[in-house]
Amino acid sequence: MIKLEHVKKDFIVNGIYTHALKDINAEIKEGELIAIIGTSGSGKSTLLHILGGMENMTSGRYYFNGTDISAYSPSEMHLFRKENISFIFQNFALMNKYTVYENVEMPLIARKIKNRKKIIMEKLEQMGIAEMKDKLPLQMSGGQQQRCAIARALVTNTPVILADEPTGALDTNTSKDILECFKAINKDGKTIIIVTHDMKVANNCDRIIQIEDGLIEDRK
Amino acid sequence: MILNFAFDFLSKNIRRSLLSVFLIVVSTLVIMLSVILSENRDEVYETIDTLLVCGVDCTAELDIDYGDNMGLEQLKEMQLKISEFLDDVSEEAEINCIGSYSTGGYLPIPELYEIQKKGGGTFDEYLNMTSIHKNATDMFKIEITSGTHPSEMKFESDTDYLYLGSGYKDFINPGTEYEVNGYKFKVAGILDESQIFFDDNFTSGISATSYSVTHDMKYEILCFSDYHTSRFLLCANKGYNINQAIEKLYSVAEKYDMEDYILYTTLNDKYEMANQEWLFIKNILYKLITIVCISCILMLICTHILDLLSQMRNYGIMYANGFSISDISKIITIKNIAVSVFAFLISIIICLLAVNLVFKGSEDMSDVFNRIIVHIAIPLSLSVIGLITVFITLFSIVILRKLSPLRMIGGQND
Repeated sequence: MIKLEHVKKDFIVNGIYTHALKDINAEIKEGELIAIIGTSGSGKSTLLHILGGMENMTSGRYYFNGTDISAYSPSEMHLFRKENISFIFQNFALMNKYTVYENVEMPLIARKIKNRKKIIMEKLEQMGIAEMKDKLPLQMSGGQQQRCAIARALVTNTPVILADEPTGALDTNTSKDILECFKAINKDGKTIIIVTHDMKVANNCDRIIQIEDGLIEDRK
Repeated sequence: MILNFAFDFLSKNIRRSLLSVFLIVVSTLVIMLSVILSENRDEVYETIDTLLVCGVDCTAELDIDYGDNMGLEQLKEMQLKISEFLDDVSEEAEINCIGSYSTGGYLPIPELYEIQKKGGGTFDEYLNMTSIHKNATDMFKIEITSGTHPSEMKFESDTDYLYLGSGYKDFINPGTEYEVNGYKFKVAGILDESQIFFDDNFTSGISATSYSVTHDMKYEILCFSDYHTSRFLLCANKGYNINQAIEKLYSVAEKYDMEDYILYTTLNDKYEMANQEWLFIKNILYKLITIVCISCILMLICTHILDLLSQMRNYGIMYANGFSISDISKIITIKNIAVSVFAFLISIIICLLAVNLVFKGSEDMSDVFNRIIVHIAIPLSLSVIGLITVFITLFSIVILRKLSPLRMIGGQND
């Protein structure tokens, strides 16, 4: 499904080059639940952002279902993300003045989908937060907010879900719950890639990709 | 759908927009005030400028003061000399026309007097007429609805030609003749109801504080005669300025040995002298208004930029969840336009209410200000606010296009 060949990513900060990713080669099959681990600054989030089309790579090739999307323009990449990728952020990235319902509704409005209510309520029920649909994010716990973010990711039915430290801001018990959510979603056939520093989360995935100093090491 | 989302977005962030609304209201009111100050005070100037065919810039007022100690014969001789002098002057290339005018009470022509009295055009036993020398037919803008225009009239020397106000049109026809105490009068035309003429106080100064130095001519009469008064208006010809015309006047006056009798003031000087204090205050007011206006506009731009930065996270979330930059740009545009229109409407309402409250009871003044506001102040301030809105919106779009969703959302780990 996803193939990366000799992917490099450099950042220039105050005139100084930082080689975030040096030579990444990886392949991800459809339906896999993958954890990307590494120390702070190893490049794991950068890799996730490149997979999600949120960052451009400096060089290399990115194939998605056989199509080379390396040289996509910003508008083409946006379209690619819209159709294929849902992103879950560590800090949930919910709009604080919008209710749970409205946050989950947002991707459907962007895609101009009508009859949204049924789809939204289905996902809220799946995530166990249907009764909180009228609450604002700041009125909920971290775990509940993350469930809302996951529901928002699911509502568009994209084949790939990328999660950047989804349990980073949560306690152990809540992290377990969220992980169970991911496993359940993965059983439905979604490809899920999680960046995490939590080995408990990583060990529950099908495969672990370890990154050190911008280079990849397959652990499992 | 984007429109609904835009208004929904605006309603959830209404508090952020309040400062923008306030600044737009203040900026608009300041611009309107500036226009009102400028336009209204110059309304007096403009009215006179319109009435004079050559305009205020090319007209001067002359006084030929030959003193009071003249016998009847000397007076007659002086009148003749002045006539010849004026005929000579009016031939000069620099001079468009020169002629006297005065407003006063005349021995009443009974029929005309009765109509004028009923119409409120006179309150004593004299017929109010404005007498203009026949040389000055081209000096004033005169509109008639019937009869022969003064510029086309072939004046006979022993007859005075009357142009009656529109209030007379149903009673007197052009061609009607009168004779009073040996003086012959002929009705040459009926004036249009829009015709105006100078007030008596015009000669004491074109004061901006008087708001008006003209009046309508509904029950008034213009009389073109051979009689000169001591007060003249001199108009420069096209291609010459008033100073050149005055120089030529004095050179001709030398030939007639009259240069010492002639005093002049250009109408521009008259305006500035009568309004020194006001022009000084206006100058300072303009400077203050400009400072306030520029400050408000800069603050408005900064407020919008701050708003953009504070909303960047939300825009990033929208971008990451399927909204395109184009969609987000539309949302920002709709939001900015809605805020600007709302604030602008508030400003107009405040302005019109204030004007009508201040000038309550004075319909003419209300009309003047309302006209200035509607025809000048509103379009001008709308243009300024519109430009700012367009600039801010374009700026927002340019910034959005340069950032990735991650940068917009911020706070992500690497």
